[in-house]
Amino acid sequence: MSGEMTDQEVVELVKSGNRAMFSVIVRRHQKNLLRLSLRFVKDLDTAEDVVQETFIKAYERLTTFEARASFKSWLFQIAVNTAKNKLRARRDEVSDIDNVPLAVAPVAESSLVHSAVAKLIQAYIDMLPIKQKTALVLRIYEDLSFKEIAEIMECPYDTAKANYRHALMKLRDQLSEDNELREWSEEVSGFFTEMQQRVAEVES
Amino acid sequence: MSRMNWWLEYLEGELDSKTRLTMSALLRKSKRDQAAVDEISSLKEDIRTSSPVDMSSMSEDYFDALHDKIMAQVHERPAPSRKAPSWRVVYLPVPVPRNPWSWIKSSAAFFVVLAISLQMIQNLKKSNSSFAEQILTKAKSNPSDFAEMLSYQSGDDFFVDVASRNLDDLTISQVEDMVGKIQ
Repeated sequence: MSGEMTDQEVVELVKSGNRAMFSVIVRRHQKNLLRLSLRFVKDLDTAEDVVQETFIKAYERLTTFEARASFKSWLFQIAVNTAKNKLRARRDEVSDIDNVPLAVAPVAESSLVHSAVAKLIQAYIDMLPIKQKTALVLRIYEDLSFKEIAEIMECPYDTAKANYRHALMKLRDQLSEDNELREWSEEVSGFFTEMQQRVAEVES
Repeated sequence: MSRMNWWLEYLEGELDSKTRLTMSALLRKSKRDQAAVDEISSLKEDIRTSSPVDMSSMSEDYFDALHDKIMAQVHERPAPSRKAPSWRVVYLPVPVPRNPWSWIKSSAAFFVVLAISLQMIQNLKKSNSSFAEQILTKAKSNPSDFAEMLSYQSGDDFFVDVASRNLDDLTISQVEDMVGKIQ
């Protein structure tokens, strides 16, 4: 029966004192919240903490939920803010772009190349200002509309869109700069390989 | 808006149908714009596939356990209740029925206070003007003393002010006498 109920209906039951119905909410949203949290905090233990805190906060503030946004957006809003607080607390430990390999050796397998590029993209995403990162994550990974993103980020529709656009354009610029660097690196690497071969030929 | 932003809006489905049709037509003809669209599309795809979040290995048991942990905490918490309003209703005291003659008494008291105040103001004015008259009388009767007094007064002082406003009342000889004394 609870499967047919909307979030709003379940929330009303919890508000009226049926605490056990909150279980429906948890089951319905915990996977999405864990996935979203992992995108921000990266490790599973912290992401699990974010999910637990999110549900507890939501339960305690349930009476303040006024259904102006969807319940999912409201939960995501709490989760994003909780994840941001966790990130702020361990700001010094966020991934450092200098630790990510910029160039891939010419002999690397395509999967390795993809993995290195993926790491690089994730590192660049982590370096984005938190608002831009939030808009990008919600749009690309969570496939949310700009209306939902605006609700979660508690900002106007156009601001949500602008944050997403800036994030995307910044990534594009950084990756294109990096491509140039990689091409140059490959050229240099090729030059040294050729030189080594010639030296080996002369020596033999 | 830059060309790239237009294509971004196009790809995000943020344009109205008419603009979208126009841009689709443009896209078929312009290689440069096709390249821009391809660039954004492949960037989005790269970002999407770069995601390290893989939850496929997480079993249902894991989520059951997480659910139970959350619900255990929920059961420890007090039930959500409506917040007490941050404002308080202040009840004003119920007005005591008044004596119907009280307004006449109040009005009479008000007029008495008003009359006394007016009288005081009048007296003050009178004393000021009589003081000025006394000075002038003294000046007319004994210009040399008055001139001496004026000699150590500055332009801001009361005596000089009174004198300058009333010089017309003095005779020429008195003024000349005063000026002569000052010089």
